[in-house]
Amino acid sequence: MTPMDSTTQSDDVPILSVEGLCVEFPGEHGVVRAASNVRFSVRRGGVLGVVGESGCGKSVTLRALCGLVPAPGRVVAGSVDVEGVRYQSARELAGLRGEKLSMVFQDPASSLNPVHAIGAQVSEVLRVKLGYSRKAARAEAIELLDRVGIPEPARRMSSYPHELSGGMRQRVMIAMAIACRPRVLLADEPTTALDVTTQEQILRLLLRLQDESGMAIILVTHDLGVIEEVCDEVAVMYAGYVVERGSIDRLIGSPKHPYTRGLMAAMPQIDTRSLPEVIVGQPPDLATLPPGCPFAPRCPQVREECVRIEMDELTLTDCACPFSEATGDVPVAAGIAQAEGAGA
Amino acid sequence: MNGVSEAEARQDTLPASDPSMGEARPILRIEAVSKEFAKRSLADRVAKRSGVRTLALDDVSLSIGAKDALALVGESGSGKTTLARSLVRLIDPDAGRIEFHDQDILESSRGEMASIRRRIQLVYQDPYSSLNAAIRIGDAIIEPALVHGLVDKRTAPARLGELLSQVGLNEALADRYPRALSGGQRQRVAIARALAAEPEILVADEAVSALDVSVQAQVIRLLARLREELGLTLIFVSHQLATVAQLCERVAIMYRGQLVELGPTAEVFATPRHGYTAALIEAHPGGRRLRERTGTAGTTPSPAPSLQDPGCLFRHRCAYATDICASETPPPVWVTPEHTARCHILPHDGALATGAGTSERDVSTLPPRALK
Amino acid sequence: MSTAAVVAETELAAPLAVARTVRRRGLGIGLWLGISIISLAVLATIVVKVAGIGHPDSVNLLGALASPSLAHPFGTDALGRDVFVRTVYATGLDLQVGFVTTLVPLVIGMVLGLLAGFFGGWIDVIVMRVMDGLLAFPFIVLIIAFVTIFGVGLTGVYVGLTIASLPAFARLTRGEMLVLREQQFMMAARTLGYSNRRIIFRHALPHLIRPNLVYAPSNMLGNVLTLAALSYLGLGAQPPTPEWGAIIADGQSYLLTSWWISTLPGLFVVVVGIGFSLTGEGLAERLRARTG
Repeated sequence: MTPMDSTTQSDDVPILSVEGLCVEFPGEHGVVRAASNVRFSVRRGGVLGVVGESGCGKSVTLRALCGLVPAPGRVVAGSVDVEGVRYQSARELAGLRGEKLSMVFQDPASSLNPVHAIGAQVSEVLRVKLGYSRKAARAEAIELLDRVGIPEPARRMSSYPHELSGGMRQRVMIAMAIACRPRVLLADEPTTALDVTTQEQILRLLLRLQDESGMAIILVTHDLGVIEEVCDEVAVMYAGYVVERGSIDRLIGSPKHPYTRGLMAAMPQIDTRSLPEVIVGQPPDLATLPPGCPFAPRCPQVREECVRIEMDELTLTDCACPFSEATGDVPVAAGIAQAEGAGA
Repeated sequence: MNGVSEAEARQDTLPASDPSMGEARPILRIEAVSKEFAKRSLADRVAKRSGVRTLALDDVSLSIGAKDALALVGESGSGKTTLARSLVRLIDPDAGRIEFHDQDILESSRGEMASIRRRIQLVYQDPYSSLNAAIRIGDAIIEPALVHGLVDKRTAPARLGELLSQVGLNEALADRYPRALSGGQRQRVAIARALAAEPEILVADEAVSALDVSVQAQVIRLLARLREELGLTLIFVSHQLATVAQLCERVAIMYRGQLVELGPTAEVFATPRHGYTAALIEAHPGGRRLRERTGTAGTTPSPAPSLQDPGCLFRHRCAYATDICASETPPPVWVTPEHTARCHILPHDGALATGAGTSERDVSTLPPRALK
Repeated sequence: MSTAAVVAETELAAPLAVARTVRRRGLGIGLWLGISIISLAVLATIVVKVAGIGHPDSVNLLGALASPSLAHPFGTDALGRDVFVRTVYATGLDLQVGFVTTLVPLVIGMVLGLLAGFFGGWIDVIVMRVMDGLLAFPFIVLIIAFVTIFGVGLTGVYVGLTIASLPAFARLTRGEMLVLREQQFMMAARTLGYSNRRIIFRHALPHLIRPNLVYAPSNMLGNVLTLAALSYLGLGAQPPTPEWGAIIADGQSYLLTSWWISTLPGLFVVVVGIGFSLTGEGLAERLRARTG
């Protein structure tokens, strides 16, 4: 298989696409599917957001993309195409890590090695992955730190992670991630642990870097607001399934899946006076999913047929709810008694 | 540094009471509260230096009336958690008074604190560590009521049932241990436990920040309902602007230990009168595409050494700062009888619509500085 | 340490590692296996003593140094005494010493460490400096000091081992308490208005017991080994009282010929030691599952 080189790629051809990804973990009572039949793609220079709550499988999916699924979990099915080349085993994917794919993690405090200076950590990537000499790596590292907006980069090379603020540390992580000029940057909740004003800066930085290099970004987050700000395309995940996907405008303007609608209505807004709408119940336990649609127990528009639908087929489409068109404008929160969503 | 802390030196420049409440008599009055943390290395101790001193709270004054809902908003290093913990004396401020029903709780004896403790309750942020994993849910919830003599062994079960249904939890959960519950359920337990003490004031210290969005919505609604049903006074500490918008009528914005803006929530969000408030609103994700906005420079610093720093602490990052901001500490300016901000510029200019309530932001009248 | 103790200790290391892997595989049998082993040992002791199957002191020079057989499962020693019977009799003594000199310091040390960690201040300073003082003495020297005070025999050993074991439990508990204090549920207990007594005993104690229980078997084994060393030095159990270490020490001159005198009792000690370890860790797992 010959990889397509960048000159033959137009902006519409996906630079990375995932098909039928399934990740399983052994559980107490059998196998738990953390990701089921996940399918999405991102084009060159695009930003894909993957959004969902705890246990939806978004982080696991991201890690599967670069072969980082933690044991005892494993990828049991599916493939990842990067620049036209198909990869299927975790080991093949791991080889891409740091070169074509790069990852930025959530918590900069624990992702950077506290006993090494940041300059050394950035240089290390360059020397190990690209074979730079010590001097060349140092020069390039300073340049990278500058590109990610760290003031006085030459002086900062000898700083240790604990001397930097959260935002600065995240910038260092990003510098390490872009060192090898990846085609796709995978970001797992990169700003969740940061203050709002810092978050804005980091997101802005990511967009700027993208403009400069044309790399694609896959951004995983639970914050719909961040998705709205930054992403072109969105995939919404629930209980390991992609329940809806589409362009950001389409999703915000007319969300189809009841979960997407519920999520948007539950998001607190600055400029409304009413309390957020509620989705009853709590995020699902992956070990005890009901048959059919996993959202059925919480869905305000649930009907009998929902327990019989085939999720594996439906998740190939843009919206995994076959009844979404028919329901039209039914309000999300059904009934006042349920409005608070008493848990348990 | 001379012997007088800078907090004491500034004390006479602020009004001790908080007129933003109007005529209503406050049940909780925070007056000129300051708290300094000092970090002394071994070298500092040997040289008898004071080390790195950070002013976690700098002369904060605030009043809260019965059945009010006040939001305390700020990012890391703002001092909001320090302030919340001072209200229950988990932390002891260095200066100022905190008056609860006209009694200064900072001067209270242990015996007096016991009764005060019952009436101001705190709900903590982390549902996974705020419940004792070795104690069953039911026991944990009813314990405060037993300890404070509000129920006895006979009446306890009925009261437990009442509390569980008030927070929307199934009675069957009473025999379980916390590990069997989800984050949202645990927060409900934490709230029920706080309610068991029959408090007047409930302080929610980032109580929803660790929850999923859909669960967050549930708990916010729960707090709103409880406030109404039980006539509680609510102090809601959060770093997320949006969660406070619907829950609280008044908001207090904190930055690096100082109270920088205070007023009715809707008004403050629609027309902020401090550069930091404006930055927070601007940075709040959602609604507008990031590429099309200007941003705020600089980082929200960890508390900085408290040297004598005239001028506004936010000036280095503020879009509207001018010369006076560097030379003079901004005094509190009353834009309306209920809305105040410590700023030289914004309270005196025309309305600054930010997009909360409008879809476009008009900044043509004010020149933003060049920002990264 | 005596040769006996060294032999016993090195023989323990590998099997303990096995025990750990068994536990990690989450079989849950660790606890039951441990309890079974200990019960068997105790049962054997009781049965042999009660049924009077042989006597630990009965000398039979004609049958000396006999290799293991049905009549003498562990063979006989230089004086013709049945090694197995002696080992079983020794079990009672060793277990008793190990148990008492672990339980008592556990309780006392835990309380001291708990108070030091919770209140801090001068209580912490005093308790910890005393513990530091005890730790400063080499273990054996401390014990010998007490034996000198109380005279030769077991009383000194009991007191010495108990006191020497205190610091470990105290420091362990204090450390755990310092961490616990910062947990939000502990802060909550304060803001809910609970008394210190309630916070310490109802809220903190359940969490503090676990690390102590995990450490207890190591402490017990260590004490038993020390007892063996002391017996070898003539300071512990006096001959002819059967005691594990003494029995093993007795056989060291015959290691190449009548190997069974040291080795078989040694294996016995190892197995019982594993039993304790498994029990301790199994209990800890149980408690961890309960307290989450």
